[in-house]
Amino acid sequence: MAIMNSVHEVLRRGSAIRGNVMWALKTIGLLFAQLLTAVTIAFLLIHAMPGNPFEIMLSNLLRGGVPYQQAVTLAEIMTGYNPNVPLFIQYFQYLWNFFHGNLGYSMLYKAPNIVLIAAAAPWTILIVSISLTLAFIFGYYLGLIGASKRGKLDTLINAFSVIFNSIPSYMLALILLIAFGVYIKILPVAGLYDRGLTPGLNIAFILSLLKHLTLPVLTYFLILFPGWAFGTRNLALSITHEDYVTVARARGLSERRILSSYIGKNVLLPQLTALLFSYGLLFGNSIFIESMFAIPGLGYLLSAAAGARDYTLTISTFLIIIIAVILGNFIADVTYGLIDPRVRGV
Amino acid sequence: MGVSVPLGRRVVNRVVDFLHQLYVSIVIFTSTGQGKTGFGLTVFVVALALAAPLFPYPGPKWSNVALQFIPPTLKPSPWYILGADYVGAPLLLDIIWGLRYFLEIGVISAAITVGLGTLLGLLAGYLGGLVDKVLNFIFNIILTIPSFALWLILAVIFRSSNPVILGFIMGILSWAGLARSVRAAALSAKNRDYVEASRLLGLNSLSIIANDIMPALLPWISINIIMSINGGFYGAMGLAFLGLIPYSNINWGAILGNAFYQEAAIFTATGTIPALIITVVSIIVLMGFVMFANSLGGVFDPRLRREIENELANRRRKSLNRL
Repeated sequence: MAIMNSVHEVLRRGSAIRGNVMWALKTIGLLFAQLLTAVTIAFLLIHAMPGNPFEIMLSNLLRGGVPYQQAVTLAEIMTGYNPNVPLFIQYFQYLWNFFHGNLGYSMLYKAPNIVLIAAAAPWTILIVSISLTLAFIFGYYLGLIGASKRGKLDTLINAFSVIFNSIPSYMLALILLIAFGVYIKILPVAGLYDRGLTPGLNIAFILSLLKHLTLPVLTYFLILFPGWAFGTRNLALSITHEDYVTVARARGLSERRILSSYIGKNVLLPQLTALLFSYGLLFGNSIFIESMFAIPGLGYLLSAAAGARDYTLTISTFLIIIIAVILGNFIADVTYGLIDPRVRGV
Repeated sequence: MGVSVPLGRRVVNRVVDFLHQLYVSIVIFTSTGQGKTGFGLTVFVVALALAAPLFPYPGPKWSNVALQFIPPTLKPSPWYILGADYVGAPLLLDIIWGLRYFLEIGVISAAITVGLGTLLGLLAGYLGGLVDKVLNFIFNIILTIPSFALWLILAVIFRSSNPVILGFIMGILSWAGLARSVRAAALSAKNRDYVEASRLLGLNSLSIIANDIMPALLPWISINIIMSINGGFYGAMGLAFLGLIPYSNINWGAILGNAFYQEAAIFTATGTIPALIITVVSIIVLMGFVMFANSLGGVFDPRLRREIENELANRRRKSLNRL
């Protein structure tokens, strides 16, 4: 009997491990399929662009006095493709270049696209992560309090979520710009740090950076926090009628205790997952906020490149943003799978 | 079965029934403060957009550099009651014609969203199997693309401020969210008893989808219509704000963009006024749509409907008794 039990145990563990491996393989396979699709979309978009980056680059080089054969080779390297070879070979060239970190050459900034993107990404990541984290924490607590008190606070959360749901981010940024640029001149409205400061870990630079980041972060924060408050409140309300909450109340625990350890913790898991998923999508929103506050991040790069018709830079930035979203979702998926075994099908 | 009702009578019955349903919907809608505001604002906005041809079009003949960004005044003509835009055309006319322009974009994008979203979502949810897997993969890919980034690229490709083209650009991504909710709703409806009963009765898939599954999807679809229209406003204004589509002064985003980028006019006293007026107007309009969408849930709640109908019937009976 004991032997049978241990055999069962081993089999059960084996199938659990197999389930885990299958789940991991499936998730990674899906990730690759998504990445490939994103690169394919980028390739198709480059071809849909009016004018031809290769020809533009070639004529530029020829005008610069480069011999023809050399110019063709250079243009091919710089734009990452050659329109004179069959389309599917171009496609594989593009894929090859992409996986080797060659995303073409920017006509606008006269530098490789990948270098420009690598320089811009940290700012976007910094602003997005600060504002989203702040909005999440504030919204979570506000939502919990709203669920326990109802009444006035509830109406307030509702009103906030309606108002900030309907204001486009650029209009909110414009209002803040007018308020702080024209009327209350206490905060800088453009750029990342004061002129004459060298970026680095010195106090003057960091203070200046924080000052410059206040308005963009505030814009994001105002747009984001009502959503988190609303979601947390609804989730918390749906839990207040669960049996274990009633039991806890019957045991005479304080409302505060019930709120923090019985309701709060159960709301936190789904909300944290939602938080992980939402990091990626914010990169799209950064276009307005960065171009209005003149922050040299990914969104600014995208709109500047599109405005100057620098096609390969536009598409490359777009591709990197999509990849950031896909990777963000992948990390969220994996984390969720690790926290909650039901997802893995174990 | 065999009782034949004359065609005219049938049409009249249908119309009366439709009007009655509409009346009940409006009563439910206006039963909350939010619904009342949303309904009022939305009806007003749509009516104004439809009535736009009654107002003069703020075309090139209105442009006048001397009037650029003038504050609200009645002097050259009463149309300048809200001031003028960057080219000197009256802001009030820009706003009225802009409503029509944005609504056209929104309606086209909503049609694409609802058409594609419902069709593909139903296909995935109802057929299942490989079709479901492939379609679901496509939905997920599309949902990872930040919509505004793609709109921006498509706007650069098409370089047009034509509402039809912009409507297509806005609609090209937004259907995936709806498709996913429709798929989920169809999946859960598929295994309900009443669908099973219809299948046992030998009804074909089309009739099952139309009569059994669609009613459950109506709230999703109608909320998506409103949100698409909202997205049309948001996207078209944003693209014009960044100067990525050709200038058109009925696009409020272009006016804002001019105030912001061209002359840095928002930092001067005169440039602030049109920017603030445009901002306030669009926030009110968009807020109206959001409130409308928020209150839409109750209209499709069959229990609430029956309650309201009973209440209306009671009220009618009481007033008859009083007579």
